[in-house]
Amino acid sequence: MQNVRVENLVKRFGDVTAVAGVSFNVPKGELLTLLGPSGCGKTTTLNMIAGFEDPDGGDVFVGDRLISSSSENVLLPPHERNLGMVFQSYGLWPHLKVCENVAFGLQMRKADKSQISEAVDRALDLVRLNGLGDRYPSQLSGGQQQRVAFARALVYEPDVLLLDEPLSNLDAALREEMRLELKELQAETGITTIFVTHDQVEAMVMSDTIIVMNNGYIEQMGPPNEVYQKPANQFVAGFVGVSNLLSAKIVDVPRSDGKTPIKLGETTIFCDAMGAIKGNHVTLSIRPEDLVVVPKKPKKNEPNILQCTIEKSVYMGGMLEIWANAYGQQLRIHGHRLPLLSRDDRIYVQMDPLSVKIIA
Amino acid sequence: MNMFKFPSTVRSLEWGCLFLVGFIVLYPLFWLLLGSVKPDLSSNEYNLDAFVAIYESQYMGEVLRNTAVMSIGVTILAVLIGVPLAWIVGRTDTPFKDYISMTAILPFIMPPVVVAVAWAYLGTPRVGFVNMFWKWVMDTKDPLFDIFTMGGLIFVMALSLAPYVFIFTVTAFKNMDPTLENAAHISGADKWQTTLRITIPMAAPAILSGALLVFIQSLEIFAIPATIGVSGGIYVFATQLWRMMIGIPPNFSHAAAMSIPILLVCGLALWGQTKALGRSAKYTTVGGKSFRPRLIQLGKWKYLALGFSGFYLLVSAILPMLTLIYGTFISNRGRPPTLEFLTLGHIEEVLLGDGGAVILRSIENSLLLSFLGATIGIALAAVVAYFVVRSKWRLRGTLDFLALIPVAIPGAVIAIAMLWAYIREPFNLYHTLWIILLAYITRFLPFGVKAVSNSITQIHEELERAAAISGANWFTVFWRVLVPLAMPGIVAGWIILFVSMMRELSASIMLFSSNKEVIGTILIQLYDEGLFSHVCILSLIIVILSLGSVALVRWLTKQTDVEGIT
Repeated sequence: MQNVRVENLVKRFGDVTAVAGVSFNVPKGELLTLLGPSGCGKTTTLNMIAGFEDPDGGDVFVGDRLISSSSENVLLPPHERNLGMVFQSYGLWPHLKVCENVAFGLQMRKADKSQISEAVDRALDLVRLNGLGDRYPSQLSGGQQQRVAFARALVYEPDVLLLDEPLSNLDAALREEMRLELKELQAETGITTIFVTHDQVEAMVMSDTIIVMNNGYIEQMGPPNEVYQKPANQFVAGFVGVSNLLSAKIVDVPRSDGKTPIKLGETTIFCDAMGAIKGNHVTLSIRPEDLVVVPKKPKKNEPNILQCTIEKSVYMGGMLEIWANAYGQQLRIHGHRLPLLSRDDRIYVQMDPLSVKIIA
Repeated sequence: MNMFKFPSTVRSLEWGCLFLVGFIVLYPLFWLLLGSVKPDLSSNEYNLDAFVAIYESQYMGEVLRNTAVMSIGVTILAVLIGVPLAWIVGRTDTPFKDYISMTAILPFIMPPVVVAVAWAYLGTPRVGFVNMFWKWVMDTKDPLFDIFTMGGLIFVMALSLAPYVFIFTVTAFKNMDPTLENAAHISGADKWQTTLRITIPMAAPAILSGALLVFIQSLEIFAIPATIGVSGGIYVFATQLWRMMIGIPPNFSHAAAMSIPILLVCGLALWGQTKALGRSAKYTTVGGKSFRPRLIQLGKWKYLALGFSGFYLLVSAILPMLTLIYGTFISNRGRPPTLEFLTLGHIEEVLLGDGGAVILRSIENSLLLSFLGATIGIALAAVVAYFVVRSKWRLRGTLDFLALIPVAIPGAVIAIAMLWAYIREPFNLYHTLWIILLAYITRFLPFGVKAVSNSITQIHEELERAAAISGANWFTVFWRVLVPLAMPGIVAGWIILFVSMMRELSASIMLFSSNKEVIGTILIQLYDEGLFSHVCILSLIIVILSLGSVALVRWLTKQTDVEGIT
C-alpha cells in the first residue's frame, strides 16, 4: 500500500482545459474523494492517474514510484501501474465466469494456480459472494455485479484503488447500503483509495478528505465536516448541501471580542470575519438547518435575528421547507415543529453567528 | 391491441399476412418434400427410391466431398481474411481505414458472378492475366497457379464472402464497451493480452455468426462453382443440382431428394447464426457513459496491416475491375492496353449488333422483374416488418420465423421447389417470367423485412400512439404516420431488393427459358461461349448499377440521420 501524490496535473481537449493544474496527496490507507458536477474534470483526473488519458502536464507518484510525468517523459501504460479500479458500468467481462473475472489480474501477474484459486476465494469471501464463482455476470443482480467488480479490483492487492462513480448505477436503497459497506471494505483492507462522485452525500459518508472540483480547478480540499461547515467560496457553498447566499455589508471594525458587525438589511449580525474591511460588501453563507424560527417578536435592534415574510412553505414530513424573503433576499429555512405557514405570514429567524460563513 | 378502433380488422390483416407469407414460403417446400418421395406424379405411390438412387450413384460421394471441402475451406479462409480486416479497421491506428472499410460494401458492388468471371480471366494457367504477368516478371514458363482447381474455387469464393465476416466482426469491435478493455489494462494486461483474452473472445459470437452466414452462402452461390468449378471438372451441390435439371428429361425427383439434406444443414446453420447474433448483441451493449476506446498503436506493424488490407482489396476488387474495363475496351484479348488497340466496337456491337439483341432483351427482362419484384416485395415486407416489430399478437414470432426461412434455402432449391409447385394447376407458371418473379420475391423477402424493421424500430412508438389517441384508425396510422417515417428504410430496402434481383442467378438459372433470359443467365451463357468482351461489358453494367444504388442508399441513410428519427 502506498500514498498517491499528484502534482500540477493538466489535461486539455482542444481548446478546452479539462484539468487545470490539480495537485493533492492521498496519505497511505486514506480515502480521498473528487467531488464535483459533470464536466468538472474529476473523471479526467482519475483517468490520468489510471493511465487511460495522457496528461498534458504534471506528475503522478505512487509511493516513490513516478508513474506519469510530462517533464521526465514517463508514461507507464495502465497495466504496469499496479492499480485497481472499479468502473461506473463495472466492466465485468460477460464471456468469463465470476471467478475467471476475479482471477484475471492474478493470471496477468503469473501467479500459480493454487495461489490464484485461494486468492479468488478470499476475495469473493471479502465481498460476501462465496459460492457464486461459477456464475456468469449476467446471472447476478446489480449489487452483486458491483461486488464482483470490487473483488476483481482488490484481489491482486494493488497499491491504490480507483473508484469511478461505482454506485451511480444502483437504486437508491442499495446505494445507501453499498456506501457503508464500501467504507467498511476500504477500512478493512486499508487500501489507499481515490473515489470520484457527483453525489455529495456519498462523499460525506465515505471520505477522509474531499476535493471539490469545478471547471478543472480545485475549489476546496478538506475533511468532510470542514467542507460542509466552512465552504471556501460560493461554488462550494452551493454545490455541497443547500446554502443561503446573502449579500451584506461590513459596517464597523471588529469589536474587542473579535466579532465584526455586519449589516444585513436592518439587522446586524456579529460574526467572525478575519481581515474584514469596514465598508466592504460581502456574501454570507448560511445553511437552512442553521436558521431557527423563533416564536416571539424580538426587541428592537436585537442582533442576529432576521425578520422575514413567507413566500411559500412545503410540508416535507418531519420538517417544513420554507422559502422566505428577508430585506429583498430569498432565504431557505428548515423549520421544525412549526404550524403550517401561509404566504405573507411574518416570522423571525435567529442565526447562530458561528454558523455564518463569510465567503467573499 | 384494443387501442385501435377496428381490432378485428387488424387481426384479420395479420392472419392474411401470415397466410400469404406462409404460403409463398411453405407451399413450394411442401412440393419439394412430396416430389422427393413421390417420383411419379400420376401414381399414388410413395417411396424413398429417389434418395436411394442418389446416395448409391457414383457421383454422389464426390459431390458431397467437394461441397464439404469447399464450404468448410471457404468459411475458414473468409474468417482468416475478415477478422484481421475488422480488427485493423475497428481497433488499430492503421492509415487509410476509410478505404479499407469499403470492404463492407464489396458484396453489394461486386456480386459473385462478376468476381467469378473476372477471376476466371485472371487465373487461367496459360492466358490468365495474373499468370501472364508472373511468367513475364519471373521469366518462366510455369504459371503461378491454376484457378480451375479446388484451391482456386475456395480462394475466389472466400474473396467474395469475407466481407460478411468483416461486417459482423467490425460492428462488434466498434460497439464493444471500452470499459471492458480498460478493466483488463488496469488488471495488468498489455494490449496484446487484452486483444487475445478480452477483445477477440468478446467478438467471438459475432465472428461465428458471420462465419455461419458465409457457410450458408457458400452452399447457395451458383456463379463461382459454375465458372471456376465446372471448368476444372469440380462439381458441388449447386452445380450438380443444375446438371440434374438440365438433363433430358429433368430429374425433378432426384434433385428434390438431394435438396432435402442440404436444406437441413442450412436450416441448422441459420439457427446457430441467429443464436450467435443474439449472444453478440448481449456482449456489445455499451453501458454507462464511456469514452472512446484507445486504438492500438501498431508502430511499424501498421505497414503489415496496410499491406494485408491492400492485398485483399487488390485481389477482390481492383484486379477484377481492371479486367472488366480492359475487356470492355480492348480490341482483342491479350493485346496490351495501348491506345491503338482500344475500341468502342464491342459496346456498339452489344447495343446495335445481332448478338446484342439477346443481351438487351435480358436486361429488359431483368429490369421488369426487378422493378415489379422489388415493389411487391417491399410492400409485403413493410407489412410483415410492422407486425413483427409492433404487434402484440402471439403469432408474430411465427410470422417473423416464416419470413426468415428463405435465407436458409439456397436459390437453386427454391427454384426446384417452385418449378415443382407452380408447374401444375391452378398456377401453370412454367416457362413464364412470373415464376421467376415469384422466386425473387420469396428469396429476398427476408432482406426487405430486415431493412424496414430496422427503420421501424427507430421510430418511437409514441408517434403512432399519439395518432391513435387523436382518433386515427389502424390504416390511417399505418399510412399517415408509419409509412412516411419509415420511408428511408423502405426505399433503401427497395433498392437492395432491386439490385439483388437484377443480378440473381442461383434461382434464375433453373427457371429461365428461351426468350425469358435475365442478366445473370445471359452472363453465364456468354461466358460459356467464350465472348470475353461481352461478358466484361455486361459485368461492368452490373457493377455500375450497383455502385449507383450504394450511393443512393448511403444518401438516403444520411437523410434519415438529419431528420433525427430516433
